[in-house]
Amino acid sequence: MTTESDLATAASASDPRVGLRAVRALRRLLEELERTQVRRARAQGWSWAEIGDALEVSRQAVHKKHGKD
Amino acid sequence: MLERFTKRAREVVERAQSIAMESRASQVRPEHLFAAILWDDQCLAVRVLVAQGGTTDRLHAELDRRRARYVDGLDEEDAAALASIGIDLEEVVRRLGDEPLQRKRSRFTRVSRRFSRPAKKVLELSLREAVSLRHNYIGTEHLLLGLVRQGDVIVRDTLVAAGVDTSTLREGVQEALRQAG
Repeated sequence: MTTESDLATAASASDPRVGLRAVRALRRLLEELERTQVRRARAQGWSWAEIGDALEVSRQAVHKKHGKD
Repeated sequence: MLERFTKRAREVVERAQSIAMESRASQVRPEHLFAAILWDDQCLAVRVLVAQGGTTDRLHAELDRRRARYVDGLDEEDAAALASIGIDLEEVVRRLGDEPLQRKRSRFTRVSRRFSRPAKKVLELSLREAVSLRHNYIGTEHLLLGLVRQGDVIVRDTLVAAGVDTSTLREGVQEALRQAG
């Protein structure tokens, strides 16, 4: 682990800046993970409805978000 | 809108797509447009940047340093923030990488990337910059002004670190155009 990370770990308890940055980063990471997994599922032949079920969102929502990826 | 772009500016937009794809980004972001501008070191935008105090070497180095290292859109500071809540970003990326994204059906392999909302904003702002300068075309110089006005953090920090004075960028563009005749 880098010094920077150690500093962040030490600061996190009290510093909302680090905490909020982590929230933002987590959101982006989540988006990336979702894109990756949806693509993978599609490549393996999953239907949009199946993907929607797995994510607990509607087929339309998942298609609207990832249909053009 | 693209019909008003000069050949060079159109090439920048196309190159930004290739750069986004090469860096495995899911969308074209402002940093990719910036990298695409810097790639053409003879273009008016780069000449303006140099006149405003930057050097091409430094601009390239500073931009490369800031571009996402771990995963699309996440930099070292993000990695540190995630580490503070117990998430090892490098490990996450490594595990994702263990299952390579082999797309079996070609229809899922896109040959281009969509522009992110901020990147679209950059294009829109370059049009506005051109209009306010009473130019009837959009060149690399307008793309640069649009990028700076959009305010992407990576672009802004790169310019500052490379020693470019962005406060007089518009004047710099006008001066460069005068010199180019």
